[in-house]
Amino acid sequence: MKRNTSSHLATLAIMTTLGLVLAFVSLWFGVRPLPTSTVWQALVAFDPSNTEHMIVHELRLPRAMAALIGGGALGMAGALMQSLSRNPLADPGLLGVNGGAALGVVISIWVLGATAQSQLVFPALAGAGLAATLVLLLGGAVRPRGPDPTRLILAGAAVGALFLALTWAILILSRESLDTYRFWVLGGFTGITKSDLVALLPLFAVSLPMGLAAAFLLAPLILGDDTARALGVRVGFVRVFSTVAIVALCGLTVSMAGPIAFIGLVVPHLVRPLLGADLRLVAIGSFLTGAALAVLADILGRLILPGQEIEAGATMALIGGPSLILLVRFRREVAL
Amino acid sequence: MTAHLTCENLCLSYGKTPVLTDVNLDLVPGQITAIVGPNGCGKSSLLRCLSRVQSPTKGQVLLDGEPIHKQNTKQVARKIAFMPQSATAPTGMRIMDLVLRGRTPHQSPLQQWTSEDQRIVERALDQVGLTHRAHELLEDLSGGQLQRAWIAMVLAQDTEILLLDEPTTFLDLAHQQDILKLVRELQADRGLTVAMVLHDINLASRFTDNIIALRDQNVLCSGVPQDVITEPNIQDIYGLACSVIADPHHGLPHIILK
Repeated sequence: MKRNTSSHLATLAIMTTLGLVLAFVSLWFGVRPLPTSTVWQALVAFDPSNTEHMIVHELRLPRAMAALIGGGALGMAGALMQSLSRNPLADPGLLGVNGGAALGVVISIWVLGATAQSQLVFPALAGAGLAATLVLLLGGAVRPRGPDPTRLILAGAAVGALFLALTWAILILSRESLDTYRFWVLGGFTGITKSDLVALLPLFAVSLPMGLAAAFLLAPLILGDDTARALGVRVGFVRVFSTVAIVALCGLTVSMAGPIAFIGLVVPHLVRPLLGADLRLVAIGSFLTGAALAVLADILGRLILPGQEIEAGATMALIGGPSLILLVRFRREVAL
Repeated sequence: MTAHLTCENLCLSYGKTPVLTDVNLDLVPGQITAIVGPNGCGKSSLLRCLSRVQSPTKGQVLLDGEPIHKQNTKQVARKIAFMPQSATAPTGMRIMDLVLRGRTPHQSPLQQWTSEDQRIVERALDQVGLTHRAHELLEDLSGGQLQRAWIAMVLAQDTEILLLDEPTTFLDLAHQQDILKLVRELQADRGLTVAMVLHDINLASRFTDNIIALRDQNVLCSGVPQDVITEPNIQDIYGLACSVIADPHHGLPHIILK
């Protein structure tokens, strides 16, 4: 018991260190090469009149933090989603929030003429919120016994498909929307500014603890609904709460960074062999690993083609696809 | 003071199909009661209602006179433990992880793990004889050992009432006996009130104090084994012709099918 706990704590500490080190290292990468000493100076002795210091403070630091928070939120949401649905291939995107965010984005481009990435954050959040509410209602969240996970996923698929269809309808009507949308839909942390991050941080500050609480609440459900009920767990309430936490985490991330695939799907599979079957540990580990992986994807995107940037959403798919295949092929999977 | 579980006019239906109709029963505190009856007679549903896992359509389950479906779920879970039929755990789970789950109703978000939990879990593992295997994976255990691990889980819940749904399913004769002996030992040691669904009437006769026989959504007869296990009753419950003899070792009723 004791031995296990301390080795798990060590694993979590390594994951934390890895994420923070990667985020720190990422400050040195960008379109404009900055000398090591300048980046360091920008951190320890910030000078607002220095353009290079401003690049670090206004662009690279928010970008690294957004990757940490967004990647972490997706990793945690993935662990919760797989546990909620008892399906190892479930991705939080199945709940339809990406479709809702996409619709919010194209409507704001089409109607309001938004073009900058930061103008898209709140329309995306509104769309994701609308989709999430519909999915919860259709998934049976108001029934006395609570939502049924299969119903939730079906509702998510239906709502997501409907919202994407509407998105495409608008894109066909308006060509200029397509240009901005094309960039948004790749997903990544490039366009994030300090003010976007500051605006979203309070919402993350609510939804991340909710996600952690959901992990603690969902953990007993691993033994089946009957056993969980017999242990005094209010299964219906736990499912509604967890679903709200998942859609909040995903909705915020997609609003901030666009849809980023694979983190929610792959990260819990990377984490389980290291931390075992306890969802509480897996959710925390998935947050830390998701954060590290998102920063890594963002760094790689700045390295692959010199002088150009590839969005983290694309590099993540490049990392995520093969690692999922490797996991399925070689690991002894810890099931749900 | 042992908790007292009863039910009054309990009705349950799934859609329009009635499963239990006006069931009244009283689990004798500090004794083992077997619930027997043909497949589909509502045994498992009855146990699920008694454990609060299933809400009845009508009627009430009373714990010391208070309806359990209106009480705080955690409070009830500290008094009544339930082991579902063929309970499943995910792979990758160790015996210890499973038994720790039994402490769920005693924990809160702010208080996850205490030395009290530790002591109770160690005692549960010790009583089922799995102390030295606590770190083994559940999927590596034999059927009998797995059932012991689940029993340790419900013991860790530290309740006065234990409800077991077919604890002997899928076990061979020796392991069935082994589990029932364990239940008897635990009941005697902890002064538990136990109710369990059993299929084997002879085992029920040997290891329980009372038998409740169900037939067609209701209690057909109940009482000590000598009163319930009679030739006419077995004919009524299962539609089987049999002879009932006194078993040569304990003098308890034993059925021989014709």
